Amino acid sequence: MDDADERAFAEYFRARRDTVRRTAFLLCGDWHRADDHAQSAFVALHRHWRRIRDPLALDGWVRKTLVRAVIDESRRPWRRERSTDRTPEVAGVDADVATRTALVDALRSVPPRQRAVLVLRYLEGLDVAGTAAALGCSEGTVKSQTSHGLAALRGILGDSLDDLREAG
Amino acid sequence: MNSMDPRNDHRLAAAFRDAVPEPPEAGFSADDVRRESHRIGRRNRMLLTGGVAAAVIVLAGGVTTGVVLARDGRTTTSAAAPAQDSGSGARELGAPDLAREAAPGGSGAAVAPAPVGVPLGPASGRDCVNPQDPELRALVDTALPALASARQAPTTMVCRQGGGREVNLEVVDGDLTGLLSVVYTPPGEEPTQTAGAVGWVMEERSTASGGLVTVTSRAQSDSGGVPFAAEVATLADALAPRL
Repeated sequence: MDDADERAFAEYFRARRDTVRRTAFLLCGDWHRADDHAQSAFVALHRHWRRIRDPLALDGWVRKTLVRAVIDESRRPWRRERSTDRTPEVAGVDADVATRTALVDALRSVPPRQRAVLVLRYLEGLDVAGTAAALGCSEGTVKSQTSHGLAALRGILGDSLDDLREAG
Repeated sequence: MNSMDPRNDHRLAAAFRDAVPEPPEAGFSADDVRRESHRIGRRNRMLLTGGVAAAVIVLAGGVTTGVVLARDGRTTTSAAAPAQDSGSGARELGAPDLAREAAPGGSGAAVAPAPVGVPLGPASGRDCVNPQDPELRALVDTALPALASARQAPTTMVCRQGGGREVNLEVVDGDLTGLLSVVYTPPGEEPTQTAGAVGWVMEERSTASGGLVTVTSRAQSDSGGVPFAAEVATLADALAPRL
């Protein structure tokens, strides 16, 4: 990349790094791994910078790279996730912190693809079509994964999830 | 639950946003990203060069073998006959199939490591990369005997084609536990792994067959140390001339 491209990349990196890290955190539930994935996504972006002509497409490109990397990693032996029937412990802490912690813990118990759909839809605010494009799947799959993911969350969080949804 | 339409789930969306705490200080900078990007670029160019060189060597070897055999009057086949047809010559050209087929035990059994100076090279005859390649495991055990008793890590088959090899092990190093992987990427293939920021030690080396060997050790948890961290580079050094 020439100097102008490097400056443009650095500017984009400064503006978006923490947003990408936050998304990565909800996808994997761990800041160390979130940083690994976010860094890998930015490295891939740097390598493809000159081929992404449309600046408005940058966010979508990074999001797609990040989500697919997290899902791929969850299949690898060193990070393969194990399901657990351990209920998140939330007693004895501030209510807001408890809710936040419970949601993060509950998300970690949701299968990776369903979790990715939930994060893209609720954290990133993507619609069904945008989520399908990011994950490289059909809109029907996004709808069913959303339904299954919410059911999984409800199985863990119980009424507190319904309270959040019904109050919308 | 009354509705499954996420457009109405404003509070749930807010809960997702609130669920992310204030992030800690980032573990990487723009300079780190640039360095890693340039490193991968150099590595890929090196692999491309290695792949072309390996192809030229194999092609030249095949032609040479055909010419020699034709001069001896032992064959009337084309001068460009494949090197694999020429017996021991195939081993010298980095085609390990003949010795592998003759090895006792067959696939999955303990396999003797290839002799020094004869690179194992790409796997063949498989549609997908074997995540527990017995021949690569034999080399790994020879290079670092402490791993000989390590158990195979359970893996999910991800079908990557192209003759790669992998070994994935659950390792114990004193109080440290983790997963150690050795991945051989053949010439012309794109490596799939990149370095992580925390809890990993990774070393890469170009191999004698023009490929790339990547040795990675990962801590079992983010708070623990990395098992065999000091041996990762040594293992990569030992494997490079044998692959």
